[in-house]
Amino acid sequence: MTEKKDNLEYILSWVLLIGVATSAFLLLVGLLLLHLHPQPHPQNIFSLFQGHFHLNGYSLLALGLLLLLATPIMRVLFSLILFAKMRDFTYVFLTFIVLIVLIISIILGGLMKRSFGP
Amino acid sequence: MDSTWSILTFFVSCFAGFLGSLLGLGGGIIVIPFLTLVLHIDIRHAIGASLISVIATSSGAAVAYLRERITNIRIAMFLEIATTLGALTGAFVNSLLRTNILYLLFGLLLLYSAIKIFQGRKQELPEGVKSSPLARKLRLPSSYYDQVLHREVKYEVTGVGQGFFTLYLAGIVSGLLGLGAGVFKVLAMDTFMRLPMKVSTTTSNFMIGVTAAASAGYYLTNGLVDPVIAGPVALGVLLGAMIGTRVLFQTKNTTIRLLFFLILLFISIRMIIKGL
Repeated sequence: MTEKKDNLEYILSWVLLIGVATSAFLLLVGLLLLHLHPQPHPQNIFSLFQGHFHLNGYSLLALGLLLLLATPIMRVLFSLILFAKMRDFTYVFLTFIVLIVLIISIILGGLMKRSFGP
Repeated sequence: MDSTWSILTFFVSCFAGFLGSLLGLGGGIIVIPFLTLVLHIDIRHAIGASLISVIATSSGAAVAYLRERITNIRIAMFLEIATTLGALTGAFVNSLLRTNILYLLFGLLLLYSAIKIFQGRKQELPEGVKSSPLARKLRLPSSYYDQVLHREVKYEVTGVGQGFFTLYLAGIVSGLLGLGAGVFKVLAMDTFMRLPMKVSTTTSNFMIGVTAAASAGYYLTNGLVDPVIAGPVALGVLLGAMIGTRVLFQTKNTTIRLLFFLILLFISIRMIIKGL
């Protein structure tokens, strides 16, 4: 039991480390490039989805941020897989709910356009 | 934003990440005022950058906290249902509630909690806690190795239902007010579930990333994340969080509690002023 628990925490910490380290690398290179070669750019990383990806500082920066945003979602996904491998079905169920609510929230949020503040 | 401002943003964010990783907060209370008041960045993009700050603090600090087995993954998974559902509900009731009243109400609630935290400031570990049947069924009681006390600390867990319900409400409110995500989580785990302080802050830290990610779709499609602002914030926060994790292991629960009390006092007074 203890070994399995160690395993879960160890693997999840690696998932986070890979996400965070890759993202930090992209952000650092992106920021350096952008300061060395200033360029006009959109104020919105969503444009990356709309076919505006080029290999420049701005795009690397945006990609790094997207990867950072994806890291917690990957963490939940990996938790689900690991609980399933441990045959801990209570937690497979609980993690599955979190994942579903997370996906619904992201999609609904993406469709929502409203102004901020009161 | 020119290079000087980028570097300044980096260092301020580093401090936010440091404090956030110690106290289980996202760092928005430092990042947002800095960006809006010092750099005169509009509030929308400042909130977008604070979303990035929350996720960076959470993921960056959790690398070390998971490795040292101080984060309670089961408590986090269980409570994340409450916080994500709460955030989702919050998106729908947004227009129904007057935010001024909310600020005042929750400002007072946090002030009350701050007093409670202060009263328990001498308590290194919770005493006389007996695990509830639900906590045992979910296998929430656990242990961690405390590097200050030089021993394995076993702890019990209670108040699971109250903790869950509080975090559901907190999810709604922090979605509405755009702040306090971490504060409520730490408070619920400390007050109702009676966890050791470091377990509460590190488990809160672990959870806030997921709660923040739930609103990522909204922030992205509405163009609230400006990479030129959020980039230096993310890098600074990641570095700060790495330093913070080193410090947490060597810090007493009572010290973390005292720091948390000060921040809580600060936030509650700001909220009350905003609500008046």
